[in-house]
Amino acid sequence: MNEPLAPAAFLILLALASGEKHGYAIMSEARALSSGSLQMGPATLYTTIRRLLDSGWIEEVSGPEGADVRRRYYALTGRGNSALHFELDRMRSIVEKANALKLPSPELQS
Amino acid sequence: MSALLTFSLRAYSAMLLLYPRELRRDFGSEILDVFREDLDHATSYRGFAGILSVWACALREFIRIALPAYAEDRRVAVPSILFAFNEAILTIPQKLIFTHRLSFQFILATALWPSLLAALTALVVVILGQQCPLFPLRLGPDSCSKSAI
Repeated sequence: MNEPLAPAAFLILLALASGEKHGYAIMSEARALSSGSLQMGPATLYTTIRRLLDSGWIEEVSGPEGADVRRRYYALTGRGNSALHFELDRMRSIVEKANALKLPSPELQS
Repeated sequence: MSALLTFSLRAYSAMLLLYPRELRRDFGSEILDVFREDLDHATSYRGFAGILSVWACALREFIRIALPAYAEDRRVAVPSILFAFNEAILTIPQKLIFTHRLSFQFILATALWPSLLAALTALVVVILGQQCPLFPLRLGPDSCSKSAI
């Protein structure tokens, strides 16, 4: 439970933290959250979704009223929410430690 | 442009056949829908450059997901390794000896060892592939420190 989450898994959990979403919405949100640094395509998305479903971190839910019936919607489970918060706490702790080091800015070094 | 989009969808659905069977069975139609939506969105905002970027991502995924999945699949990997061993030990040296009248020592140095090395490398890749799942949820020793894109 101490290893960091893989970037794709972390961003999918983060994308679902704001509510249930279908595949394309998850992918768009994950790309936006990573500011475009994560090159997530459909195959990466669903390979990771499958592993998250198997782990019980996300679940398939019925979509909102009037949603396209062909779409499948996914939502964060309690376990997934715990894993996400654990990861966020881990990241926060690293950033706090890095800030305490008072590292010089890259402009000053060059 | 619409012809290019139609071609892209057909090409991608053909490429999808090379992805792991379980992934196609569970999410095949969804993957195709998301690819189509991504393509539509990229085309409407960036035109031809958008199509290229979606395809660049699709090809990168193909190399990172579909090809390693074949290395993990014993039904593909075992015959491939046996074929490589057979070529290395029997077929290639025989052809070189009888066709080109080359000495066995020369063949050993130039053809046999590289082929054996390639076959052994393939074997190691398959063994490691069996132990390291594709796209692990966590990074670290359990997942062989493999990062998911």
